[in-house]
Amino acid sequence: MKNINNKTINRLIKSNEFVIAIVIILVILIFGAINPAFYSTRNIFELFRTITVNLIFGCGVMMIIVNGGVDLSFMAIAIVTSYLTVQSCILLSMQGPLIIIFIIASIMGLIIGLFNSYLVSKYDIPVFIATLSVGSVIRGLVLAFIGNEYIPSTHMPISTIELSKKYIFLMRDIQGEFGLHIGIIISIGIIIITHIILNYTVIGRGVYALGGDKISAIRIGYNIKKIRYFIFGYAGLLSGIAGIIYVSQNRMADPISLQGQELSVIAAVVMGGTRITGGKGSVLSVILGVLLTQIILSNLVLIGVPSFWHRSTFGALIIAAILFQSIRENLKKEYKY
Amino acid sequence: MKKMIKIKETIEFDDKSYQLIGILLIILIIMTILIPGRFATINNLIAMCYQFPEIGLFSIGIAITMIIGGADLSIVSIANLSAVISGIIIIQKMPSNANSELAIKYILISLLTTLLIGIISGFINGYIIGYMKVFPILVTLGTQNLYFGIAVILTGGIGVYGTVPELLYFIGSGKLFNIIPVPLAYFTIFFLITYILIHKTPYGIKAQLYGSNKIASYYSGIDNKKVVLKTYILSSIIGSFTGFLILARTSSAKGDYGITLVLQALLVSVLGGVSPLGGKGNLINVLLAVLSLQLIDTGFNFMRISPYVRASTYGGMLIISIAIEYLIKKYKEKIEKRKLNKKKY
Repeated sequence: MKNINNKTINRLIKSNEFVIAIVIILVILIFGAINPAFYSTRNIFELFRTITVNLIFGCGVMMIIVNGGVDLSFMAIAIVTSYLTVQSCILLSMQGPLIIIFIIASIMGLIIGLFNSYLVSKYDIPVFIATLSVGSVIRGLVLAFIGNEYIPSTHMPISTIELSKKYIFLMRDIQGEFGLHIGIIISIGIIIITHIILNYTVIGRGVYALGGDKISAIRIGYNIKKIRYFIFGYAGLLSGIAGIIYVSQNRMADPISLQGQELSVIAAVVMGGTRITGGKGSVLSVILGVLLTQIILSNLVLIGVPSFWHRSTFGALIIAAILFQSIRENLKKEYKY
Repeated sequence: MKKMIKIKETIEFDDKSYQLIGILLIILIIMTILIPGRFATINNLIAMCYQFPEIGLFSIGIAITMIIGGADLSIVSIANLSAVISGIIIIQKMPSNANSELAIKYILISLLTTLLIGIISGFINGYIIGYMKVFPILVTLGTQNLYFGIAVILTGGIGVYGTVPELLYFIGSGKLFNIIPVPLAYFTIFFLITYILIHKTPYGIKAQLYGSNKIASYYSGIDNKKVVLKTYILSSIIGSFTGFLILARTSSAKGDYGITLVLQALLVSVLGGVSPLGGKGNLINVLLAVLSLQLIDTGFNFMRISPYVRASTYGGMLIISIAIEYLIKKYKEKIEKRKLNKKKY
């Protein structure tokens, strides 16, 4: 009995997630020591608000990375679907309900995601090439033919604006009222659903099998095409939902926003412990990775780092995290090539 | 005549090249018909020669890293970093009343620093990827942010502007012997050096072998780590010298110049037949792909089509070309099967 306990503890200490969690705690302690305002409820609620969208993106991205490929289209999908949805709501002079808006956006995202997987499975295009080109095509088409000007909050459907003002509960301090935004509940729900799909369904186990070893997955009897369609469709659907939340949080739909930031979410997910070559990853890694990057990025100002240092700090952070990971992985490996 | 034969021997065309030449000609013909009298003129061709070297150099830099199975996403940031540092040396540090001799000295110093930046940044990339065995896309993504951040710190987020000495202006927009645009010559030099290194030297052959099968190259006695290191240093040097060209052409340098060029250069390399999985690639094809996309770009400019459409043509062309290639492959397989069946009966 004692032995088993020791083993599980050993495993826990050696796991990537544990190390990242310790790093997060250290970062929190250091930041808090430099500026106690970091611990204020307002700041923590603000952090939850900013990670909402990235958590949803992270779930989709993690699934595709586990399956063995890097998706570079999810932000384009998010912004295109949300912009189109808002535009069509304006055309139909529709103000809500919110659920319809979410459904429209997620169906659009689903369709684009399915198109991605069609390209990948039918024409054997590597995932990151296919998604990269699909992303640039849809973004370009929307900018060229639908419109390239942002929609201000006065024109947007009222229900999306109302979403940005919905709080789970409100608090009060010297600066005024603030609250915990309701978006975090949506992301927690999506995280739970993703966890259930990955761990308790046949298709979810197939995702890991396919990412670990494609040929063995085929021989076991998994339908690879079906799994791929499912993953990409699911990621597209999540992108649609995240897009609407993003648009409502910013209170404007800007078709050129979110450009070239795909890589920061991917980096966060990988930092959390998802293996970039596929086969390994969990929702926990998404949560930890997104938390770590967001805590550092959004609180650099708070500890007095000038804003033009942010990019290089972020870059150094990514490099440090992946170096650390790879050194740990290499210690286990025996081959040298 | 002898020289001509030699050139023919050194430049190797494959099936993909003929395909791309065909595409190039088709685009040229379509554009000439659509824009009569204005497209196929010498002035326009010369104007294009000023435009494509930047994206061309980036594409070659990314293509060689893709040949060894990675992708140097930091190449544009390296270019901006070197442009910013050269800009600080030439525009800010040089006394404004300097004569041409002093200006030449300053430009030589900045060229030296450009080379140095290329080597250092490439060494960082290559060392982490080759020796510590980290996934290349992630490493270069991190260093992309790092180099970008350093450039922003150096300029304080504004950029470097000012009057440049005449020689630098000449490199960016002059003509050699009144005919050849200098950027074209600049591009040609780097293209030839890279082409020879990749396709004609033992190092290049090792790199291609490494790209197609790491384990096999390891057991055939190739120093994998060194190959990776050399390739990333080469691509970074190409990147940093592109930065110098950008400085010369625009007389300014910014940390965030042409960030979208990374994705474009990636697409161009894939369009040019470089396999993103590594091992396969011919730099001539990359050049042809760059040229055909430049023709489309210029044509769209003439037709006043929105720049956003242009951005999406890259992706669209890529998907279509890969799909067509796939269909051709399937068709060939079908014909071969038929032949086999005939032999059987």
